[in-house]
Amino acid sequence: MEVKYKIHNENLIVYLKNEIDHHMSEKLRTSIDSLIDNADVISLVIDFKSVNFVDSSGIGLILGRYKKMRSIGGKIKIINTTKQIKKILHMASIETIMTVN
Amino acid sequence: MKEDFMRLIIQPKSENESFARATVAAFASRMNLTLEEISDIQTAVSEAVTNSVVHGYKDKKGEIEIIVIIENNTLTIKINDFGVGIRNIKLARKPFYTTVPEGERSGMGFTIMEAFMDEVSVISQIDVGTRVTLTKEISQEEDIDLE
Repeated sequence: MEVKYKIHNENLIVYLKNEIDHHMSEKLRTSIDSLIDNADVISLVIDFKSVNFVDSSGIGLILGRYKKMRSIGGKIKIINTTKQIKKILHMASIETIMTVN
Repeated sequence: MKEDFMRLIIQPKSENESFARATVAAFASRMNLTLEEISDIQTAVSEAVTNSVVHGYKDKKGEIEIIVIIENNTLTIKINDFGVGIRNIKLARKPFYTTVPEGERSGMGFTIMEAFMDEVSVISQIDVGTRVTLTKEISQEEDIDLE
């Protein structure tokens, strides 16, 4: 699956869109991981600006990428979340292990 | 007295998860829901349907039945599958518990359903199926009569 991204100074920014549910997470997981593997990045930023729905599968996607970044000594950050998305991420206390803006 | 219902049957495919939650939200929206209530309902339905797809049928064929009932200010959503069933419901409802850690499931499905709905009941029998009932009281704003 094609995902919009930008690489700048070893930072990978991934721009997610629409709905991040079980169906989409499975596809996004492979796409994001191949970007991490193919570019020499030390930080991953996931942009939720164009996302209008997230459920627990989105939490799984974020936690999976968190583990992957940690395994290579890198960091992860979540940006542009709405109130509703923050509410979901807070259920799993995501904000205690990474920056959520 | 407001009273209405709908019934939807879908195949347990991940493509149908978004269709199911959007359909339930569209039907329930006649209850004068706030945007937050719509979003909460969609998320809870998404969790229950995803559970049936991922765990109930594990990519096998079958049917997921979704029934939505409106009765006055109470919204009841039943998500029934005829899959493998849940061995230990108490454990399944625990936050972060998942039977498929390699599948990147967060184990937050039931926790989110419980947080976003007023009541969540689960009945399950091995190799017969699982019935999840979600209930939410909708805080109705009185319609103002403009004369």
